[in-house]
Amino acid sequence: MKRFLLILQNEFKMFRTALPIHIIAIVQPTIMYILMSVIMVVPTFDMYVTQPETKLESDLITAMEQVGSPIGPDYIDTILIPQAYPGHRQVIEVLDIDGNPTAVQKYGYIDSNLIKNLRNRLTSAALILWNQQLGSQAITIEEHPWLPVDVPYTVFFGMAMIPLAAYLAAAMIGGFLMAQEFENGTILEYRLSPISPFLLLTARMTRLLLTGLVAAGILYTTLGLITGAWASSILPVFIALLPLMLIAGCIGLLAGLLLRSSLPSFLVALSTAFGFWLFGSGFGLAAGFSLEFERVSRLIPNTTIVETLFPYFYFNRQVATNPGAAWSLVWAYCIVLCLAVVVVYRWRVLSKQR
Amino acid sequence: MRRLLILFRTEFNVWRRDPITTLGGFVPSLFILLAFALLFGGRLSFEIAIINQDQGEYGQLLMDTFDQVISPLDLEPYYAVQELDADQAWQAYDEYRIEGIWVIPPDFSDRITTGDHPVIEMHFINYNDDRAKNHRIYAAEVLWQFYQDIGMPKPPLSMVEEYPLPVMVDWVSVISIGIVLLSVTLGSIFNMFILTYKSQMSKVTLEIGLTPRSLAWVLVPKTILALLAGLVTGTVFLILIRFWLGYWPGSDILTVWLIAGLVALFWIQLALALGLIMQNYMGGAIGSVLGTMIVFFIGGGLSMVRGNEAHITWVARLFPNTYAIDPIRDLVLFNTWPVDFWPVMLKLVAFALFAVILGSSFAVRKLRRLD
Repeated sequence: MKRFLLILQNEFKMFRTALPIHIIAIVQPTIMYILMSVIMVVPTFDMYVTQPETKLESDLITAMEQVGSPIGPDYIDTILIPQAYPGHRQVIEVLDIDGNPTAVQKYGYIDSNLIKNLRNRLTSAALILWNQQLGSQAITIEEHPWLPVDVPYTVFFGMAMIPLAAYLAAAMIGGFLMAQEFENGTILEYRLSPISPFLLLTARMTRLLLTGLVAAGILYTTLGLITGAWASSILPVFIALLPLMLIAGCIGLLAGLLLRSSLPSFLVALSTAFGFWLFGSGFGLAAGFSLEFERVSRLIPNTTIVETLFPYFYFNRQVATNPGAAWSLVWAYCIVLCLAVVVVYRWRVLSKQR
Repeated sequence: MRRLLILFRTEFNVWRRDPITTLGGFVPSLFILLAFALLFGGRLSFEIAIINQDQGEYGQLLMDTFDQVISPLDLEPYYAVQELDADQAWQAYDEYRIEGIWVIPPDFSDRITTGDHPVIEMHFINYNDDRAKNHRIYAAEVLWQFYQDIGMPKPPLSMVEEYPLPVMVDWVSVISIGIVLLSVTLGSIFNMFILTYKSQMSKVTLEIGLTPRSLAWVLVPKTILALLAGLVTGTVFLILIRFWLGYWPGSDILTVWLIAGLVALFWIQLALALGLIMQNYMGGAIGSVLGTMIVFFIGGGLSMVRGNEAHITWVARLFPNTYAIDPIRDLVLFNTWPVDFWPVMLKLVAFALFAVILGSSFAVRKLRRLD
């Protein structure tokens, strides 16, 4: 144990040899989250409307101000303008067409997502007017939301970035340090060392796990400070990240051992980190997207981690449909990758035929 | 000229020795493209169940309405109604296998006929406010259509839409052009690194610094090759998009190369300077690559900048990608000449000049220092 602690201490001393890389790997996802939380999709849209001149137009403006969530934000921020100039992203003008008062929505750009959002909002406002006219004939939609409040998207986005932060730090630093041993020639010391390779690899992996936890901790704290969303229990959140960091560390070490160059090792860490994040429920729970996406997503360990973290941030609501199978797959990845690291280490470092 | 060709040939050999890094712009961009294609390229309808307990005909009519209301997002209905009985529906909802349940009560038709405040229950997932918003505003589209189908009195206000162009592009196409620019940028940066990292590792930089000739002989071939590598990477993505989504800039590809090339030039010089300033080349390299990824997400990679001016942060405005992305979309997606072409070109040239002056000055100063 004493020997292990000494090796671990030495591993941490290596922090000084690549200080900028450690800082970048640990902090980058948090910076990305901070910047993206500013531009993250929000339900409130600016909508331009020409200055009302009739009662109906004024009623439309009032109806637009009513479109929103009773347990969340408004959906329309009405901006009144004197005239529909070209160059606006969108503008609504009420005109008389064939004797019918008509809200003409003119779009400046053709992007189907934007148009869907603007069209739906105008329909919601126009429906309020129609319902007012229908009186008791109007159909009321009684809302029963799943959670007591509409949770801002930034909360999910940040929560799903915690696995990315943990993964990126472990994979990138793992790959870089291992590749550097080859580039600097220090791999010779490992070859000549009488210490068990198992002990060396365990120490390195422990160090990578702790580094990943620091990265995840920084992002978790930032998420809490920005959104006020803190996990109902912290310990399970960080325990759930351990297998993912083990996978990340193994992938990083494998890249370093096989490629023996820091730049391609970094490329592997970067590609897998962002690939796993995007495919692994980074933008929303896998079940909410297409069947094809969900199938791929279920193979990515991040999906299991995100679904495990979910109840701690969302009023204890469970979303993992088959957690046993999902976790079995994650552990299978861990075992296979750990074995692969041992085999490749023996081949690349210890074998005479390297 | 002969000296330049020899330098080019030497740099080409570096590529041959490290093919993985040469693909540096390709691999992460491909992952991102595939992920967004699967995320937003498939059917985006919300899967819901309807529990119709209505004793009359209107409940069934409402159910039939769901298929008629088409989203402009993917030209599919907003809702994909699943055929589930009540128990299956509630279980699926509790396990988040469906997005919501509409319950049509037994007296729905009666209340419509008698005008006695008909009600529908809408149970829906609101773990993020954007999806909750969609449920509410999609429901309005369904009711609007339903009122028309059952012959309710005419609405006080009709709606029409006017579009500036006869075509509408989907969200994945918008994102795909963001990825083209990302791939050009990443391709250039990675190849600049590969062409300079080996010199750093083998301490050839000392010999470079001692050369009596101008350092431009060393830096210009590297910059040109990195730029070419970035443009080739981006063109591969454009070809992919041509066959997958059907968009191609035609003869405007030269303009696309020009715009993307100016952006790449900025990043190449920035990466070179960062790598040398930080006294840890890989630190600078990693920092600039991850910086590019961040700029992709905040600088219009996922949506049109022009349509979201208010959400573009000052940080994003410090990078040329934010200005270049919409003109490239104009050329590739709409085959139209960007209305703001010259102002954008001026900005991009200014960014590139600034980066070249800054990057080269730092590089020369750093390489000439012998301590």
